[in-house]
Amino acid sequence: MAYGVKLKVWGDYACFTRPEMKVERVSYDVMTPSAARGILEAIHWKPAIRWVVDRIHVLRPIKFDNVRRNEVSSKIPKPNPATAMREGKRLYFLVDDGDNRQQRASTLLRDVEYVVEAHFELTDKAGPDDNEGKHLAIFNRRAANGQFFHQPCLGCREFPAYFELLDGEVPPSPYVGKSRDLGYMLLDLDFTDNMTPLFFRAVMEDGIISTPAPGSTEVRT
Amino acid sequence: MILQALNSYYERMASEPDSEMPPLGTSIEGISFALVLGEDGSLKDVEDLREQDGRNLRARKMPVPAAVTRTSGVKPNFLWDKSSYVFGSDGEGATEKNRERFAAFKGFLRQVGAAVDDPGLSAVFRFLDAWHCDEAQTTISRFVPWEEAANANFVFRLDGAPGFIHNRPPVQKAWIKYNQEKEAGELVQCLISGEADTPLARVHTPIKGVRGGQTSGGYIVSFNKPAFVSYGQDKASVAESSAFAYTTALNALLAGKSRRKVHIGDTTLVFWAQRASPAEDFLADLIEPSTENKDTTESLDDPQTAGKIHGLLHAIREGRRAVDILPDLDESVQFYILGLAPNAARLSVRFWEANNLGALLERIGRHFQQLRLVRQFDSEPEFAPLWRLLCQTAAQGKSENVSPVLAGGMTKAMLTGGPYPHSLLPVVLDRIRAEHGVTYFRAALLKAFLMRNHHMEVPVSLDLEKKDLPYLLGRLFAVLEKSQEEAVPGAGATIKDRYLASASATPGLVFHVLLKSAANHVAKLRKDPERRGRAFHFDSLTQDILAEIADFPKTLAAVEQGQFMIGYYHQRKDFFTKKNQEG
Repeated sequence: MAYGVKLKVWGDYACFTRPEMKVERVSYDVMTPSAARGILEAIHWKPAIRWVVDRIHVLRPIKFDNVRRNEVSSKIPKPNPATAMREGKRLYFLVDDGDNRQQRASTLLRDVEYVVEAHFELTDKAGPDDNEGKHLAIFNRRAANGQFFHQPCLGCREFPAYFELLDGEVPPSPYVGKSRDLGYMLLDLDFTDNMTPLFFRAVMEDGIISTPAPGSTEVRT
Repeated sequence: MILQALNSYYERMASEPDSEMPPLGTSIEGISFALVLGEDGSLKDVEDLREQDGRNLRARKMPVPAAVTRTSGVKPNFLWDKSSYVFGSDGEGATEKNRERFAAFKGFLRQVGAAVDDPGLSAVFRFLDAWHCDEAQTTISRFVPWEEAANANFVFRLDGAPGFIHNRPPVQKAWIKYNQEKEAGELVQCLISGEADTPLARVHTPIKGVRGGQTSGGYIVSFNKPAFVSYGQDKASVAESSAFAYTTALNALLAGKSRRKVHIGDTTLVFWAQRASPAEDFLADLIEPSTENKDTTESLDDPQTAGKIHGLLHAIREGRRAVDILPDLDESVQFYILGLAPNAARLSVRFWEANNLGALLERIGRHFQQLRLVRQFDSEPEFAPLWRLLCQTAAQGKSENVSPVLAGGMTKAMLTGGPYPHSLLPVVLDRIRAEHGVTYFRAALLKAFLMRNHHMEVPVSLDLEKKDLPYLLGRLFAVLEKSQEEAVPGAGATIKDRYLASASATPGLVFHVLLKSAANHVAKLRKDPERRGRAFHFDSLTQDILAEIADFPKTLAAVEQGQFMIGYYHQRKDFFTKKNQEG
């Protein structure tokens, strides 16, 4: 893994929502590869590169918690901001409207800490100026400085992720010596194919979840 | 995880011979009557299928061709339905809408059963062809009262042949074939079974039986508002077969008489094991142990079982293994507990725990061990049921005032061994302050909270060696209260009513006042020659405790107030215990 990176991320709350239970959210037991990709992309991403998550290390015991929050049931309709921009009007969206309000319960994770091992590949958008060394250097510099394009989060925007570049050994996991079948887990969405969700059989061995390479047969079975 | 586990529960139950798990393509519905038809389609009889349930007649639960999900519009079921579909008439008569339903019912039957050569099905065709919707009431009331029939579900039976028409093999075959050929939905990878290219379940069967939920059922998987959708994916990738399996399994667990569910607050808990285990049958009693003096409990009408569970509770509380009591218990079996709460038309997962049975029993044992406290009255349960404990945290002791969040948190703490909810301590202290009463349940809750969340050592009964300042202050308060009680019997408001809250929160401000008045009380006792002994007793008790107290702290933090209350409870209980022994 010549261009691999190791990033330690942690936070107080996390919710890696299961696609089947996303109205009354229920989190997966551990971070999903697509959530890890999101964190990496928040730190550094260009069309020329594509992040591939290789392994996720679970550094703290899995703990669930419940919260109930008042949320809304609708999104801002797409034309609204467009008209507001065009006609110079104020954009307003009534959040505290009885019809729009939805009380939703979430089963989420508390006190999480992970190490994400990932590498990136150059895409066909890579120009002559792009090379792996350059992007790796950019990523490492930005991560070391704590820079990001947008606040990285642990599954949901409201749960910020703290991060730190990890050099050296990955700290030991509380799950060393144990094996746990986590069932089918969302790997990522196939953005090239009408955003089809892809799943893989997640097994945590010694606190490590290895993700199959995209396109490999494991993605299916 | 949750759906996967339910899916495998379905598979497990379906493989057991008498499990009554319906196969794919069927569902369990409440059916009241069977129409008995002659081969020529004539109506010979209406058979009452209902079962006696107490004083009421209840529709019989039986497997029928899977019900359609009716939200709006006309959608008939195959070979069974309500009277509005089967007869084209119901309580409102043969309205336009009902005729439409009847036509749909007939049409659907023709569509599915067109190529079937079966005398039973032909009889149904002949019956429906000759039927007049307007005469439904007169025809049916010859057999059963129309008021009862108008809202009931009907199936068909062929006169002289055993079984129902929908169960006849050629008809069943046609139904399965129809289901397979049904406009194949989008093909997806199922996130439960992992199978690729399986037909997507468009609508999941609603889950019925969650307390507080809508009677028509709620959904675990649903996407009914734009904000619930990610990436435009308005449905989860769940295959039809998996969706059927998990909903059927969950509905069976939640069914009326299921012994695999418990209600705690607004949460309905269901539990099941990976393999058949006797624990599935008694876990409800472990979570909500009923006591001997509790009058009627459906679950524990058998005293032998009650005794067994009491013994089991004793064993797990003392840290012994459950196998010693129930030898056929396999502690390694994986056990699942799912807590569901209704939220509008949806169900939210309050709680999910998967662990092996041994670990689960150990945690329940630890919960009861930490709650263990000397009882105020012998009538109080030794193993306090969670719900009764929680009522003690609510205004007026009413169960509807229990905070659902607290109830959920307590259940979770009990089953996972995690800390009790933080709000427990202030809530209990609030109730004590408001009602000036430290009851057995409240003291037990405080004890368990201090032990688990603050890793404190809290004795079961009065410990004279314990030198913690708040504990001593609590004891002192109990002594002062008792001396007042004896010196001024029948006083309207005792120092407990006036000062319990302030003494526990701000002892520095209150105790010297209390000590001063206590001196008067003791002096009064001393003047009475009969009670002089008591005066000495109180004096020496007060002196003993005061000797350990260097100074009265200005304030006590919440945790210290908890210790205060336990000291108070222990000392007070001790007075009464001694008295009983003397008498």
